[in-house]
Amino acid sequence: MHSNYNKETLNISDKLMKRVSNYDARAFEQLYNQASGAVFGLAMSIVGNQADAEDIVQNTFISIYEKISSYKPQGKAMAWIFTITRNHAYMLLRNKEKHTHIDLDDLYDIGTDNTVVEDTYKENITKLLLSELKDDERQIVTMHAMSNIKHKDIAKIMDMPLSTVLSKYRRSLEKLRNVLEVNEYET
Amino acid sequence: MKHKDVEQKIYEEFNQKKPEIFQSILEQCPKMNEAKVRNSIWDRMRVLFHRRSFTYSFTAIVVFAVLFFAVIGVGPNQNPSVYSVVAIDVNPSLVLELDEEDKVINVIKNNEDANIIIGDMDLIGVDSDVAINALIGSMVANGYISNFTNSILLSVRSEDDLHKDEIINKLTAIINNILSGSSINGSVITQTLNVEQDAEDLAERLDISEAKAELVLRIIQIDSRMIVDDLARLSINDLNLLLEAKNYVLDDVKHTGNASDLEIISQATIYENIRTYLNLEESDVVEYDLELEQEDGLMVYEVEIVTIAFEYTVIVDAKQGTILKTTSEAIDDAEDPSDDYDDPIYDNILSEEEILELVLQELGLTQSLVQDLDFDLDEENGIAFYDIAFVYNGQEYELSVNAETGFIFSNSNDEDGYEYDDEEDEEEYDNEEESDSLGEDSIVDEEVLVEDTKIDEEALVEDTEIDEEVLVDDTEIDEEVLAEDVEMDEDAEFPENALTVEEISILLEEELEIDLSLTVDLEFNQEIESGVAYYQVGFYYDDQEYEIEVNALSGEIYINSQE
Repeated sequence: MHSNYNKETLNISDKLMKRVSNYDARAFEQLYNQASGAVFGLAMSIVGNQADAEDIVQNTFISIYEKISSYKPQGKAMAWIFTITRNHAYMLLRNKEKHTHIDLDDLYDIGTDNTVVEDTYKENITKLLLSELKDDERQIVTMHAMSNIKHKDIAKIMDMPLSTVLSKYRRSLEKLRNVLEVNEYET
Repeated sequence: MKHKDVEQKIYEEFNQKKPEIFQSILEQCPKMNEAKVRNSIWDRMRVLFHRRSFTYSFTAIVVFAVLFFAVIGVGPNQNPSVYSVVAIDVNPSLVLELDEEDKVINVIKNNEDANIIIGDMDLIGVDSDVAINALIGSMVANGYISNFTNSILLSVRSEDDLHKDEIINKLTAIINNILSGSSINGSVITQTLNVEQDAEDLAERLDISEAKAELVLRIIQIDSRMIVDDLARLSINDLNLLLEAKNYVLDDVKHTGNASDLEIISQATIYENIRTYLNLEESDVVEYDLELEQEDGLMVYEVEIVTIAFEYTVIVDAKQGTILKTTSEAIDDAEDPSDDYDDPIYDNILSEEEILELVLQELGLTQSLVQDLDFDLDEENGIAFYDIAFVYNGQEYELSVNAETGFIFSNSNDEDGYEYDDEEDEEEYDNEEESDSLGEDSIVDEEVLVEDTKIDEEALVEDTEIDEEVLVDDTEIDEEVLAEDVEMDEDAEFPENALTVEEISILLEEELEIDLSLTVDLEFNQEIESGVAYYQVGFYYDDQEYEIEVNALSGEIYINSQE
């Protein structure tokens, strides 16, 4: 199953970031191809709907372009990008809150299709993430799954103790695994 | 279903659903488009490389030529084209692209240190020798080059091979002059820079320069026991030290001067410290041998000490003096050839006689003149090899030879080897200097050397004191650990907020990039020492034994040994 899922290939090198800082369009495109899934995933795990998540992807990459000179090459490009993504996501949520009071856990518009049948729901891991996990759990699991970022870096991004991040990560994956296994068994 | 499978599902789904909006993002990033006219030579050469398959047909040649000129922009009214490339690696890593007259037309900064070195300098349009002068001067001023880290990797490529050699000779002489003017005994490693896909891939993967990647790959080509990732972690000065210690014969690689060993503890100090650590008197030691090696990206000494009863092998961090691994073997066991060689690695090895015949044939030596012959069979990273030592016509030879093929990895006495190029090359470069200035340089160098020697002796005395303390500490700790998990802190309770075994497993899998479910004899032991709680983790994975300590609160990982 996981023959083509290799953490090493998810690495964003400082060399690539350097090329982006030299305004190399091909490098920027390569960065988009490598990182946009992770940015989108994290955005989805925070805002919970496709349209807002797409806006966050756009804003994040424009910020990368604008702020690339401030990136310090320490082999942690993805942590830097995730920080930008979270900032944009929370900015968007704050703007929305100004206009209407929203309970974030009720916010999620799970998918764009309202006629989702139950079987599809079971197979859709995005929906599982949103329905089974809390906000911080979703972010931890998504960041770890979508990149080669380490738990200690996630702990820094989330401003949480490493032990908390590790236990939330483990508990969350257990929950997801149990639901997925039950679903697999039922189908 | 494993955690990794769940993560893969998440990964696949988000990547499937992500928006394809790159073009609209690009439209809002105006500077990105400007950059297209200034792609680096790497990109241009990569394009050419990919086009090469078309060159077998006439049409393809035309297409190739059109693309070539379109890509590199040759023509009377075009931007100047890149004729030569000079890459400089110390820790700052940068690339100068030069035109046909050796003027700088582009500067590529590979890392943050290169930014510091360049600062406000505008090198575009400047002669390459002036640019090198400024860059090396800045590296010295900023402390990147000193008598402690004196090695510079200079990699050159040019459309014209002869011109490439001219650039190498010219720039090497300039660098050596600047350094000697700053009382630094520099060492310049030079190599031809090829733009090869595997070096580019390696550079991209490990985030190192293409030039360093090429040097690393050249070493791997000669000595397959080495691991690419380990070599890539070494500094340029450490790589230089390793090349000198091994005396490898590397294609297109030469050097002047010697790598600084001021950061390395001397062999005599290490030997004395190890002897003290093992509680051996000088008279106990039948023979000993020290070799400077690299292990896991660290410069280490492998120290072998033989007594009447035991043969000890100790791996010591060559800079810190910390003991990384100690093994001992009773001499009786060591002499039993069946003892350690059950490993499948040794299944297809040649006998000592066969290897000797191959080696002597390769070196053009006669077996009857070989004296004091000694064989030692060992393995490194899954490759069996013989260390062979002998004396021939009064000369000592020390060889490392692939035990299956007879390929000579290294030969201490190879006059074509890295170390042996030194004097010859220095003469060659020196001859280009004027004799007057040579005379002055020599006097200056001698004075500098005398001063250096004094400093060295003082530093060594200090080193010795510090190291002995470190070693004594280590000895105490080891003995206590051996005395079955110790009196120290035995009443202390393991903290409640410590990471769990499962959490430690997640960290280890992440850090070591291995699947712990595939390990054998996995053991976790909770320990507290000097008030610090940690897990001692041991297991076998992929034929290697791991012993690891993990701080139970911070999750910091210390690898004690990986055998």
